[in-house]
Amino acid sequence: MTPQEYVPESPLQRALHRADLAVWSLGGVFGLLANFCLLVMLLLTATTIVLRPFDLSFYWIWPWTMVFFIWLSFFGFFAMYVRLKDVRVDFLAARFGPAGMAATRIVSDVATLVVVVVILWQLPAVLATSRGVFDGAILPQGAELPRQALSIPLFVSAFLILLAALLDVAKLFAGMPENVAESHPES
Amino acid sequence: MAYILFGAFIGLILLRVPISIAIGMATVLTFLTSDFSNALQIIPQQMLEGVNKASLTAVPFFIMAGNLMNATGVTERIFAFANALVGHMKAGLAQVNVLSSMIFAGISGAAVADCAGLGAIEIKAMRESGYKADFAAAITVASSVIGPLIPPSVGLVIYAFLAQVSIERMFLAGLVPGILVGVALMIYVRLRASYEDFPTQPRATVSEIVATTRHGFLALVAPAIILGSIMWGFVTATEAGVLACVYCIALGLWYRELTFAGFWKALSDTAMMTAVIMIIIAFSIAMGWLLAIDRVPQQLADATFALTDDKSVFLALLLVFIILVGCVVEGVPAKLILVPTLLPLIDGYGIDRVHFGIIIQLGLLIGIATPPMGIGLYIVSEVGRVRFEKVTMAVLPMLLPLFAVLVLITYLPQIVTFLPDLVLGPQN
Amino acid sequence: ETWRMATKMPVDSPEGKVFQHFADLTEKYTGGALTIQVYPNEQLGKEDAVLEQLQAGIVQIYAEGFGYMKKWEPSLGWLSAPFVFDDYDHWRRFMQSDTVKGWFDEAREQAGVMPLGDPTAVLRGPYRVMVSNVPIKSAAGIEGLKLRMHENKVAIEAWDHLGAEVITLPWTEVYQGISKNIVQAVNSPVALVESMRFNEVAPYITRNDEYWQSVGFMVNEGAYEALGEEERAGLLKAYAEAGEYSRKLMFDTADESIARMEKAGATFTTMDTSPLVKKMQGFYEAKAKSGELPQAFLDAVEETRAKPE
Ligand code: NA
Ligand code: NA
Repeated sequence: MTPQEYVPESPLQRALHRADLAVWSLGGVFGLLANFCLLVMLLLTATTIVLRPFDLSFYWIWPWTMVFFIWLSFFGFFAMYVRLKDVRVDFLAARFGPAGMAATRIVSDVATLVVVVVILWQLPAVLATSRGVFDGAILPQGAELPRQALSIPLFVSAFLILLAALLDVAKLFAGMPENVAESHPES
Repeated sequence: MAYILFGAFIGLILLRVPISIAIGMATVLTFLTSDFSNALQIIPQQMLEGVNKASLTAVPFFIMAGNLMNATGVTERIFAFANALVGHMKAGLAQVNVLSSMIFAGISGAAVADCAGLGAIEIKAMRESGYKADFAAAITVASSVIGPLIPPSVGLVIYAFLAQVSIERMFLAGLVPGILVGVALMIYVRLRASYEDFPTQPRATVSEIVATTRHGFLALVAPAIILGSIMWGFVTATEAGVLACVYCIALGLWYRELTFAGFWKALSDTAMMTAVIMIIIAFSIAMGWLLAIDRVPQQLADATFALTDDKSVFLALLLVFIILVGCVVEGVPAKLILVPTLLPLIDGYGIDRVHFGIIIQLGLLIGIATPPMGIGLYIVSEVGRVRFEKVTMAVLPMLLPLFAVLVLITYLPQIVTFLPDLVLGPQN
Repeated sequence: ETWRMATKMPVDSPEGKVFQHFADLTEKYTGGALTIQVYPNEQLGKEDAVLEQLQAGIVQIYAEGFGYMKKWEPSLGWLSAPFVFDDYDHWRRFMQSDTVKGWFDEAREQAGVMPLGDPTAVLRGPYRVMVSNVPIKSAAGIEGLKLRMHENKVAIEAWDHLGAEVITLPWTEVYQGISKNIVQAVNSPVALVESMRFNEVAPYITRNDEYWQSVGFMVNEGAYEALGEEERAGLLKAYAEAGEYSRKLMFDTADESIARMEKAGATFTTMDTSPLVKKMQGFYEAKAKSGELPQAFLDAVEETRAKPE
């Protein structure tokens, strides 16, 4: 079920549920950011096509399209994680009933935590070594976009996923169900 | 190392871990157990490398084109057109299901849009006219395999980038095999209809055919525009994807069926699907780095050459291997790991990279219709409201025509290569 | 000990052969104490990623243009600015000057990455040509020419200054672009013209020596310091010999390729570039004035210029 459908009972559950709703909304915000990136890519590329017959081109269009593509992927990371857009195979877990689902819930959370902690742990090393600029992605003042700006959405998403996974662990201990994608087979 | 990698990945997936996290975790574990446990900064660094790939910018637009068709009513028109053409045949709506997918394939680059959008219409129509729900859902999944073979195709874009083959060439190579899969499925349906009772429909009148053709025609010319503009060099593959989207939007406005809400949903679905694919790619590239630096592909090639030097035997092994992998690993990560790993072998046995690309594309696509990872099965069981296990059983016999085409194209490479060689000239 | 060497080039390309030759020589001259494992085809990533791996000591050598080191020392980004040098020897003197050494020292301070030996030893290209579908007889022929360029600010502005109509296009789209007359010409190392089949659509090949290029053997300082005296000597000897081998191989390959293309109908000419060098001086002085281009760069260019007798 999604957080909207859940009704909390205890004060702890109410607090966690509020946090859950907030994280869910934040996922929506990141989804919007990803949509925006995709829309910009669409518009920039369409502009390139339209201008070509007139022998007009701007060399910064393509590099910026790449930048927005990178940001689309990295902003989308948190959005798709929180909004449960990735595929999960549950037939094996379901076979073991509620215990199976609970056990695999922990496995998922732990795996998620390990992955994002590794990414965040390497943040200083990556920022220290990713020097220079993204060629051609010029900013209004004439300078080019620093390379570091490319990975920042990845680290932001990783940090928020960390929070989301920790929250699910807390929910587990508070006896709250996990968020799962809606499914209505055989209705 | 390869064992840790595949073992962890498959194990985690079976333990209900989301695919992107599973591949990330498998990558982390492999790094920690390798000589590079102190070089973890490679992971975020290579994730950036993975998404910073120019040719992959075509991916979202070929996904979006399919979503837009569903949002603009073009999908319904394709279905009506196919229905007017083959609806009167034995098991007519099943034939319509296959033919619609072939037409839809010319604009959409992903199987998911076929299963989710077109599939919903097909299954509803089939159930209403008396087909069993599991049969309807099964033929929908089986025919969705056509989408990523007939250009445009997200999977072929990814392969072209991995194998350093031109996207144009891969697109042309996929056309004939894609049509063959459609024909094979139609033959299968016809054979089954000869000893099994399926509902029938009256033949469409001439005026119905004319009316639906007018609409169907607009959908039919789209692939010509997309393919043509890439072939004649007016646009890049990414731009062709944008053209396809713009064309769908124009059709939607022309028919007055595109609402802002519909457009926004298509955009959001595309962004999310792209993010899932790209994050999987990002982690896979990090994993690929580790495989490359430990020279796993070369070692695998050496070991296989020691096993057999017969190309036909190797191809048979390859087929079995790809199908097995396709069952447990989704197409994108499977390709990302397998293609760079297998390329030294492919080159070594003198197999054309274009040929191999179509083999692996179709081989892995079959995996969308097989458990446990059959994404197509999940989607149609969702949109068709059928239990997963029932679709899975119903789809099993339909895998036969798919396997038949796969074996055919594997041992007759000319089916794949003659069209690109004809149009683009032989590969240098 | 084994060093990892990353390259962008395929094994069977001329540069790929030079790298393998270098690896073989190293093994020979160090008596097997140091072996070099070559990773071709960007297997370990693109430039920025590999430089980061080089910095971290995961990779020990990266064989690519020195220009990519600009992220540690911006002056190095100007090495392939068009028509700065009078000729090859001028460029060589410049590259071996104390000014350029100073920049390499700065990069070494910053990132622990340094060039192995003489930075001009391994030749790339071996020279640059303009391939066009219209004949270009002199510098004036560039006026109004629709010229393909990659997304590089300096290159675009420079060719714009020379009068060309610059159009950016990905490298892989150039063939189609010329055949559709979207662009009329492209600059390329002569070694790539035939393999990209540019001569089929643009039969006029004009040597213009836009700039000279070497393949930088960028080395991780720590790994280099850790080598024993003899290994270091063997490595440097292998590098010097690989340089000689590269010059011979590159020119032989280019001559053969040009002969083949001429036989197939192409025309090969050499352009007098001194008017272009002259015309660019104003451009570079303006760049120095605005602070984009270090004045030291222009000073070193002047200092190393051959004095008229
Ligand atoms: Na398609
Ligand atoms: Na279908």
